[in-house]
Amino acid sequence: MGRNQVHELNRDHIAAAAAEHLAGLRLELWRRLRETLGNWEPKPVYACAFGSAARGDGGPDSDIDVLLVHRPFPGDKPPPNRQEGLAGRLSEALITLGTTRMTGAEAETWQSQVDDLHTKVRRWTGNPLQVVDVSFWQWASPSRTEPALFAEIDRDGITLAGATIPRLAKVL
Amino acid sequence: METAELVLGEAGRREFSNVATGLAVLAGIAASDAICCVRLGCHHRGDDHRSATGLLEQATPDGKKLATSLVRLVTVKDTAHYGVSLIDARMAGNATRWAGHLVERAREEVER
Repeated sequence: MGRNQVHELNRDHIAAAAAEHLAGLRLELWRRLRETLGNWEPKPVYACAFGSAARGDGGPDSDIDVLLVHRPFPGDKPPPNRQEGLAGRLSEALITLGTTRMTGAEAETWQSQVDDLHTKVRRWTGNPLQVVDVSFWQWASPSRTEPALFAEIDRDGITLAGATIPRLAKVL
Repeated sequence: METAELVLGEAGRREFSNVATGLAVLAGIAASDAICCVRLGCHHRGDDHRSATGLLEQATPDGKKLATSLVRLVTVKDTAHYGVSLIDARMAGNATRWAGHLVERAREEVER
């Protein structure tokens, strides 16, 4: 249509159902990940897929990249607040959003859940899971210096759990 | 491994957490390879260390538990790949503990 080339699936073809199913595999993977992460306790504050799997341009051996943001573990320290005035107060408020520390038992359970997710994703896809597992304080801190990771997730991220967390540096 | 533990003692400084973590990851991967060599006569080759967990699981009766430690170390390595500031003292301590588990088992296997 116009300058676009449009192809229509011939649904009478004997392979049509298989083609449709294969075309939906990524969506099925996001569905399973959302379902799995939704049943976690403690739950992720936020989780997203990113990288080639999220973009849909991965190869057969590509990793499945997932960011997991968890509530702070026991002993984690909140990031220093270097903002002043209204920005500083907003920064503090955002830091405390949904950031009740986990107990030691919850931290152990979180780790076991991540272990299990590696096994599940490998079984579902045959591809390895690559996890970036960080606390909310690490993720939301304005002192973070990984613009490449931020940019990649902003551009390609597919939310799997929680609400998108505006990074303090971006918001402020 | 000893160096990782020594550096971990200085993990109040973030850059030392990175160093301790990196050393622990290397020690854990080497220990995993050693266990597989002793028990199976081979070890995983290649850069994808997560694939090595399958071999490690088969190597010993407690292979699944060892593989869990290896997977956790590789996860830390993956996180570090995306940014050094993501590695903190807690993560460095965990990495040292998981690597220590693998190194201890490797020592037992070699001394058998």
